[in-house]
Amino acid sequence: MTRRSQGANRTDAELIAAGSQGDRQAVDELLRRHQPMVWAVCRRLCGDDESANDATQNALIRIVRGLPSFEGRSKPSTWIYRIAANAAMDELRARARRPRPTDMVGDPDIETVPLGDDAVEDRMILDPALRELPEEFRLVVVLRDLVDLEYTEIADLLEIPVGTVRSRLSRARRQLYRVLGDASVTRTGNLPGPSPRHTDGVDIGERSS
Amino acid sequence: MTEQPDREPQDLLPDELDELRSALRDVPAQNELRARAALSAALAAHDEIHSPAASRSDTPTRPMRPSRSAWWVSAAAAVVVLVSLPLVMNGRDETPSSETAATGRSSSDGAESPVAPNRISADLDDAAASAPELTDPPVPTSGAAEADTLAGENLAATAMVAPPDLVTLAPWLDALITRGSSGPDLGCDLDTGWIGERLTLESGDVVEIQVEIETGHVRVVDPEGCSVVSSTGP
Repeated sequence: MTRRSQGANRTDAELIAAGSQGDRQAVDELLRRHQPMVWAVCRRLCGDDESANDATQNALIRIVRGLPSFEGRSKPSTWIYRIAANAAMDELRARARRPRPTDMVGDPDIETVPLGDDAVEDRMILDPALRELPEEFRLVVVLRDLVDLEYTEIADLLEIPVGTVRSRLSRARRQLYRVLGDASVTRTGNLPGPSPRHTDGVDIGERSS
Repeated sequence: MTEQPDREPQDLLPDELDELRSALRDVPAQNELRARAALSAALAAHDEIHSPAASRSDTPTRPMRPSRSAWWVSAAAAVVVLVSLPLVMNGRDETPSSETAATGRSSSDGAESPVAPNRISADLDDAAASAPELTDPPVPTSGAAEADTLAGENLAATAMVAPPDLVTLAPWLDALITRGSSGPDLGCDLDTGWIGERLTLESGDVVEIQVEIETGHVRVVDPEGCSVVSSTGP
């Protein structure tokens, strides 16, 4: 417990610096701290557990190998999740080049959806909806609405203008929400109440970048 | 609708955005074993970097339970052995070129460069006439040398096959399977713990590659279920 307490007191930057010098405990703490989000990013971008597992492992390894090259120009978390996003996209492209292996019947990574669980159903619906999004839209919505990166951070990460980030984000959100909304109709049989989605151009609900 | 970066986009209402974010963040937890395996692999990579005495490896430490990547390694080993053997292939020798096997993708960060299928096909044709015929099993080595050895030799049916380097063989296997895969998948036999996939090789022969889930053992059988070759997995 003392080891974990000591590690938990250090900032990400300190852990990276120590890890690049060979401090294994620092690396362990850094990875444990961020592994859940790395997994979440990979899971949402890849859309399935198996690919996300491979991408997560690759991401963690790349993080370790990249520690000496981290220069502190971005936040450590931004740097880490950039690596995670790249690993996930690399895994997707690699998967696209080969056929999927046999159905992993009984694999513990495969989710079973209990009937009537709306939250789980939303999650299962969201995966194919995310896969339907173009890659650049999927990246933006995951980095913003899952990882909570700022617009400028996403723009810098993807090397696109901030305005393009906003535009892609808006379209991705509308498309995803439409899928969730349709699923809600299917479950309840009720149409969602009228809600004006369009305003006179004000970006509702957005944090300032 | 075309992108107009200079305009504020019309967005969801706050409650709609909250609902979407909530759904996005409701990510299923990673399998605990896989999470630990990933962490172990990363720490092993750290140890490699900072321990001069540790032997370098091109691939990270893999979990004991075969991951999908390990599955491909086992399948790659079995297919390489298979195509090198005069089995159900009517005496044809189609030995993949060691040059082909030497090209692969890096497991570290960076661009991936899979070998084009057409190039692999040409290499196989070129290698067919000059494939050496050896009887001794290969001595496992690391990296490309190991792949070269496996690719260039005929192996005894019961030889212990050291899994070739995934980096070098995966693209070859991908291309082979992509071109040749046909027939129904075998699925997972929960009683025996084997999963399998049916492949049609370029020669037209149909084989089934099966991997035992828990151990990674690989066996290759013909459509009648007769064992063609088996090996231990990683």
